[in-house]
Amino acid sequence: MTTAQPPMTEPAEADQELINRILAGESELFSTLIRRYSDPLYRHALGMTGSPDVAEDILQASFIKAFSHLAEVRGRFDAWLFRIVANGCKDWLKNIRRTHLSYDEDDQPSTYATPAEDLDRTELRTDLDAALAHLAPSLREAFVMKHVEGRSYEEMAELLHTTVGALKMRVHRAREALQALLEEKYA
Amino acid sequence: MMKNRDVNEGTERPATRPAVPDAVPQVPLADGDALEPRLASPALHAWLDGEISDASAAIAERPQVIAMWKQLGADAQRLRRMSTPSSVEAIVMQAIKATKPG
Repeated sequence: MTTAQPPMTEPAEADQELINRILAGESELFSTLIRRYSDPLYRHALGMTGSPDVAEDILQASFIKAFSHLAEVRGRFDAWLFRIVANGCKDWLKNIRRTHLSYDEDDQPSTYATPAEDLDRTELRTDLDAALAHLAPSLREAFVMKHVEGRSYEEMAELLHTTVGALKMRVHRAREALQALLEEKYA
Repeated sequence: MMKNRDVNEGTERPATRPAVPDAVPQVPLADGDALEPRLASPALHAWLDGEISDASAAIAERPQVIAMWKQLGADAQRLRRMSTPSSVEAIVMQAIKATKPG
């Protein structure tokens, strides 16, 4: 049985209305935007970094940055916010690479996790994170968006401002690399 | 062929299996890089992109490879159900309290 639903406001319009009110002084309404968008962004950061603690830090910093630049939003707020988080993740990966130059050491994402986090991790997840760490950030990003977040290529293209073809190529290359790294143990 | 460099070089690291094989690229793979030899079949990519059925993929690809990707898919599903720790909202709202949006 279905019941009549009130007409839905377009998400982008609803966001813009909220943003206008926040800019006019109702800062507490920013929590609505946090609740509306934090889950997919958290999962993105988690997939990119492999660490719940780091993902949380990136998300917090991204929301604070978004609030500070809220008047600059043009177009879709969720896409603008996604780019802030995605750039935060890529910056973190670049910094990690700079400080962990050699993969001969135990410098894989699982080592960034606390012992408590480790208890929640399956061996496969740990191995996947370790394998993902060997990919360039753009390949890792494409793989995470496709397979962890379950986004369509079209949605990814819109968020990353690139083409479906380019993203398919990145996802395919990421799969090739991951298969090469994991196949010996798992296949 | 992937080899465990520790074993080959006789180092004294523990004899546990590494998280991933040692013979991995020392330089991160970039967009334009290609892996040789190509390991995943076009059918595997089509299957992972949802373009062909499990049955069609099983004809073209080794069962072990299909099983591995199914395992990875199941793990991804688990991650997809995770939600943001509640502390994020509280910390952000506390941090922006004294500031004005720009």
